[in-house]
Order: sequence, then structure tokens, then C-alpha cells
Amino acid sequence: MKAIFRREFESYFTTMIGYIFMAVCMLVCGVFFTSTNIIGGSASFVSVVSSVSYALILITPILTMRSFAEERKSKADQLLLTAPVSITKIVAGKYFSALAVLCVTLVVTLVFPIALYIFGNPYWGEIVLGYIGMALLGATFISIGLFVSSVTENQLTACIVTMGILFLLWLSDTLIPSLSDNTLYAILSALSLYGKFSSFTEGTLNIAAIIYFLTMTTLFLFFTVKAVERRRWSKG
Amino acid sequence: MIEVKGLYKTYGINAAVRNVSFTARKGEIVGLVGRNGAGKSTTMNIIAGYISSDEGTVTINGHDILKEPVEAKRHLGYMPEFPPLYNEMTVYKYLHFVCQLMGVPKNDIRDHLKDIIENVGLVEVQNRLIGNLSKGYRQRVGIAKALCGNPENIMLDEPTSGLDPKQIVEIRALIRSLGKKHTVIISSHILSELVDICTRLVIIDRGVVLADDTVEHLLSPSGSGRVLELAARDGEDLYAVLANIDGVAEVKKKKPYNGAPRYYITIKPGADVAETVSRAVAQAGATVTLLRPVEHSLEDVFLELTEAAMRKEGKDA
Repeated sequence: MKAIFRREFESYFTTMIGYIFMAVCMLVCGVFFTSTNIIGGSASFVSVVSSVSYALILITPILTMRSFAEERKSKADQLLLTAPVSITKIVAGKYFSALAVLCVTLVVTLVFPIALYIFGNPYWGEIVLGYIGMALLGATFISIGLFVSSVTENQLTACIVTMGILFLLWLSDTLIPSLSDNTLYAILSALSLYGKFSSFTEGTLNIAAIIYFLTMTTLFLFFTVKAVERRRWSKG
Repeated sequence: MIEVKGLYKTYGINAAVRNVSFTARKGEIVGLVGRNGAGKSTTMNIIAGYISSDEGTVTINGHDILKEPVEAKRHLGYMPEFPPLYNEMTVYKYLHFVCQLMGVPKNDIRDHLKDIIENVGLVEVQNRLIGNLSKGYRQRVGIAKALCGNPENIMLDEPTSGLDPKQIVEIRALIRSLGKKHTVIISSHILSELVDICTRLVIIDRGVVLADDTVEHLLSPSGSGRVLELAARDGEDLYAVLANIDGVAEVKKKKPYNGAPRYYITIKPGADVAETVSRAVAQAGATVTLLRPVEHSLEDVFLELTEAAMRKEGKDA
């Protein structure tokens, strides 16, 4: 698994993908930091955190679109699937490499809170919670993206479908308050990733939310393992 | 050692592989022969655990590919038809990665790779990106990939496709030397190549094994369909004389050889008629100018088998 993790992580940076992901993330951070913190003169980091969390909808699919879809198309997946490595380890290696890119990016964006600290008096609890929230949200997005990539054969399809799913999850959040149907309300609020995420930006450490994100991640990774296994049995 | 028993695989309504069984032992180079789409690659992909069979079992060194996949795969080096390469990696890094996957101890990887890279002829390109390599070199990286971790069983799908003549000779020599210590399975549709390298051939057509025998047996005129070529000058027409000899199944008249009438005599299995034939010819007042067994080429054997199978299927239908 370590070998797969390293190879995948390096491949993010021998291709454009890792850089594009980091650049977009930094750009979003920078724009909101400039508008709220520098021009607006606020020491609160919440608006930057929530803007990045929305940007993740657009950029995490870029991280995960290639992982299985592209390899399946180029038949490079034959290397991993005929190697003495279990599918769980293959999925884990790919997942953690994408997660590592996200974490590295988040670490780089720490320059903004540090700048706040130098020139102002930020509230650290809020910033730490914001980062935990972003990492958890991103981790869940990546597992969803990985799953979509494992059931598609084209990286563009994988990217667009992942984006669509994440976008729908976000859209459903805006619907929830106005729903009168109780069942639908229950289902949508259970699926509401941003609903759980908002507790982090509101400044509370919600253990239930953390467990929720970790469960969703595990669930989608499990689906991914099953999807890769299923392919072997396919009749297509 | 690789044991394949009763493999079936269907894609929709098409049966890709039907009841394929064979065994490849240590020190053997087994060739899978068949036309395009005969089921060679499907069979290999099933053996390697890339796709599953609907029925049947594959065991590699005693480990079932479905029940103990990791153990089984550890003993198999596989090069698929299209080598699974990462274009953004250099040759050396790629092979290093494969060694890690195969579980080669960290400290041994360097020496191990040095040997492989020299043997396969990749020294001058080892630091180039795979994406920039020519087809021949990509193919060689694929072969090197199968050797990583020194597995006891090596399986190469069309190993010489895309190579230039010099490389083909080199790779064949490499495969022959591998065959001494490993179990090797290769596939090809270049029949002469397989005769050259393999010790045993498994002929597959439309998903069915038509023959599984040593190269000598398949090609030697003994066994069924053994044919003698005879030419004799002077004397009467020998057709009736030859056809009456005990042990002769069939006689065909062919174009004359140096002016002498020529015959193809098909002999019944197990019979030895060369002496009787020459005596009979002499008694008929003719002189033998040529008497030799007709060598089959693998092409002949292959066509004969596939046509026979088609005829049989036509009858069954």
C-alpha cells in the first residue's frame, strides 16, 4: 500500500493535476482573504473556510477523476489488479494519496491565518475547527469521487458525475428548510454534508459530525472496493 | 507450476473460453496458439486474476487464484497484451514500483533491477519517461515488468509483437533461458516463433482447446495422419499396389517428381510400412527414387485441427 500511495502521490505532481488543485485552492483562499480580511478589515477566518468548502465541489473531482477511470481505459489497471496486493490496499493507497494532496494544500493555505496572526488578533479555535471541517469534508468528497471513478471508464465522465453528485448534495441543503414532507426531510438532512459541516464554521466541535464524515468516507471506500471487485466478474 | 481446469467465460451470448484445461510445469515453455479472438488473452487474464471465469479453477504453485489471490499472484509475472505502463514515470522508477508491488526486499531491488534491465536491453533508456518510448521499448519494459520479483511462473501475451527482427531474436533467446528455471506461458499467432521457443503447445480455437502436446509430437509425422512421400520411375501405375498394402490408409497421386510418378501415402496409426512399400514397388518392377516422411508445419497442423473442429461443429449443429 505504501508503494501505491507514493507512486500515486508523486504522479499528482509529475502531471498537472496536483498543481492545478493547489493553485485553485490558493486562488479561492486568496480572493476571499483579500476581500474579507484585508479590505473588510475582519480578523474572522470563517468566510474563507466556507468559500473553500464550496470550491471543493469543483476541485476534488479533478483529484479523483483519473485514479481508476483512466487506468481502466489505458488498461494500466492490469498492473495493480494482477499484482500480489489486495484490492482494499489498492483503494486505500489511491485514497490516501489524494487525501495527502488535499492536506498538503490545506497546510499551504495556513499562510493566511498566519498573516492574520501577525497583523491582527484572530480567534484560533475557529481557525482550527475550520481546518478540521475542511479536511473532513474534503476526505468525504474524495471517497465519493474515487467511487465514481471506479465505476466509469472515462476520466471526464468521472469528473463531471462527481461534480454533479457533490453539487446535488449542496443543492439539497438549500431545499431542506422548505420541505414539508417528513420522510424526504429526514432523508435529505441525513445526506446533508454541508449541514454537518456548518457546525465547524459555527465554532463547535461536533463529535457526531466527525463520526458522520468518517462513516460516509468508509462507506464510499467500501463501495469502491466492491466496484473494483465487481469488474472482474463483469460480462461486458 | 500453473494448473488450469475447466475454464468457462462468456461475454453476453458469446463464449470466449469453453472448457479450457492445461498444465504448465516447471522447465516448460508452453505456447498458446490461436487466431485473433480465439481466447488466448482471455485465458491469460483469467490465469492472472484480472478477470474471473464463470467456471473452472486456476492454481499457481498450489494457490487458487480466487481463494488465495495475493499468494497466487506473488508467484506469477504477467505481461498482458498491452503492457500496463504509466507514461509519466521513468522506466527505472516504474520497474522499481513493480518490484515493491511484488514484495522484493528494499535492499535487493537495486541489484535485482540492474540484472533485469541488462537482460532485457533497457540500459540506455532506463531514465527516460515511458510515455516517450517507442513501441519496441514499451514492449521490453512490459517483459521486464513480468520478470520483477523473480516469480517462478512467467506469462507473456504476444511478447515479440512490435519488436524489430534483432530484438525478436534477443527476446526469444531470453525466453528460452527463462524456460530453464521457470514455468513460462507465452502466446503468439506467429506459429514459427512458437515452434522455435516452446516445448509444448496448446492450440485454442474459438475458446476450445483443440490440441495440447509437445512440439515434436504435434509436428512429427507419427501418430495419426502420418504421411510418406514416394516417387518411383518405370513400371506400372502403383496406385492399386500401394492401396492394397496392409497399414496404408489412403493413397493420393501427386505431381511427378523429376519425371517419376509421385504418391502421398497416409499410414494408419502405429503401422510401419516403409519396408513393405519399397518391396512392393520393386515387385511391381519400379525403382524407388524418393521415399521420405512428409514433415508437417505447424500451420498445417493448425489448419487441419481448426477445420476438423469446424466440420464437427457443423455436423453437431
